[in-house]
Amino acid sequence: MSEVVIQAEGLTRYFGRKKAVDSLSLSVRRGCVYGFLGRNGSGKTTTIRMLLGMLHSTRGRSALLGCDSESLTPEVKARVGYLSEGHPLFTGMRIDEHADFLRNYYPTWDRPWFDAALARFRLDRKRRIGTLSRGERAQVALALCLAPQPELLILDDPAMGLDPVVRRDFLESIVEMIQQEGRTIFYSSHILGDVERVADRIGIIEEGVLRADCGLDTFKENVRRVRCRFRDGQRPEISVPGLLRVRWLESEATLTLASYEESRLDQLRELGAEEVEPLDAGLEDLFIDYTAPLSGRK
Amino acid sequence: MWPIIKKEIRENARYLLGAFVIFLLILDFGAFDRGWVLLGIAMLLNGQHASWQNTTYYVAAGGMEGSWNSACLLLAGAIAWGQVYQERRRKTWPLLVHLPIPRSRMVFAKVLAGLLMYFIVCLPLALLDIARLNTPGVWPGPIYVSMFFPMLTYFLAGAMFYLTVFLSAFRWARWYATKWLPLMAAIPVYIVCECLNRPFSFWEVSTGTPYMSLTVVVLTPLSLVFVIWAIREQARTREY
Repeated sequence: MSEVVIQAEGLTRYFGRKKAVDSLSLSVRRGCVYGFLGRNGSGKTTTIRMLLGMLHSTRGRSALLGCDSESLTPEVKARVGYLSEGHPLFTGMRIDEHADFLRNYYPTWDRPWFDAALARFRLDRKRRIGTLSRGERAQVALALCLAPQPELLILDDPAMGLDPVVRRDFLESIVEMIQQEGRTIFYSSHILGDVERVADRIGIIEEGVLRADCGLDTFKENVRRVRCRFRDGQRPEISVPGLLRVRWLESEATLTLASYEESRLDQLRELGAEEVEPLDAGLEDLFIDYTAPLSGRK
Repeated sequence: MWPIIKKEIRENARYLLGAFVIFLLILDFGAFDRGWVLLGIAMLLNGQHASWQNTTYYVAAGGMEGSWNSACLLLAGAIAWGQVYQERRRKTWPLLVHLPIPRSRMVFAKVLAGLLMYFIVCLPLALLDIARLNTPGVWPGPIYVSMFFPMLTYFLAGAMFYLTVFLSAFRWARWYATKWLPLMAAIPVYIVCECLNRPFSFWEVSTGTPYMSLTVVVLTPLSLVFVIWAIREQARTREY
């Protein structure tokens, strides 16, 4: 069995009285591309910052590459690439100055690779970072993050704030660049479509609680939409295990079910449904249903 | 450490140049018998500076300690606050914290860079002032080394003030009042400055003041050690 590179056990963090992350436990194995999904403010960034030791956990513990997050050694930090939310960079520097600055600290810095990445993005190394567009800055941040050839890459919502065209191009760059054997990627996002293209395992965090932690295919198999047609004028109270959401249109209900099994269809028929039909829903839709605010659920 | 120091200086070079010019004007303002700044600038531009030598004051001779002291304080505080604030504004603290070096080393590299920037601005001005004073025919009397003490003491007190402002800006605190508490550590240093700049009689046992001055002389290194220790602790334990 492959080595665990990210481990969290009961990770909890309060900000004042607000519980930002609640008893989060997960483990990510070497070579896995883990999509960490959640709506804005669900606790993704807080979790990542705790994993990197930038925030202290109120309870629980976590480790990266076998080293406790609270005391990451420089050697371990050199093996972890981190792209933080919003692509912050030293705006007063030129691209090459920024690269030279970072290169001093990373013995594994791959200069030819970095030059090739800049060429791929058609970026002039002499340009000042403050003059770059948001998309270009994201590309530079990605290239700087990957140039030390880290074995673990933590990307905190890297496509946030980019328009759809730039985002697509940026994601293609990520897919291209991360296909290195044995590299582990922890990719946080609030857009499932982004993660779907790169992840082979996902975790869904909602209001600080990790509600799903499974393979992408397993998620698709387990979370399903079902359409039920009842007799005219009938709108029975629907209560089946794993029900996430119900949408009514006259006598037709569209349900989103977690832990989907064929037996659920029989249970719905027993409730009086005349027609029961599983639907093929997109991951984006399933994710929205899965992470909808509790008040929006049945 | 050196790459961080270089980064800090490179990023702040234009502000340092601005500070140098402002500092020069403040001193010039003092030098022109505390006259009008605009008049001072106009005369500087017209090359009439030398003609005012008779009424010119010198920091080194104790004629404008106030201006020098204020300028040192302002500069030290601005550098320290700016260094912390610009990382917060750009959200680049995580980038620095994730560098594969101990956090305390990263923070002390910033501190060293800040002190270096402070010296880069102050030192040439101090040397300029000393050079002017030493120009034959300018100072109507003998020149003693002790004449430079006030300048030196306030210069070093500014460095201490830098450390306390850096610590205050760097540390998290719920209330503004508690956030700026470390500034208190700079107070003994200024008391020492005042004591050092008193006439020699101040230090005589018969006057009864040495006990007070000795107390603050002991407090100064203690304050310094405390501030450095606090910066190190903050660097290690602060959240980013």
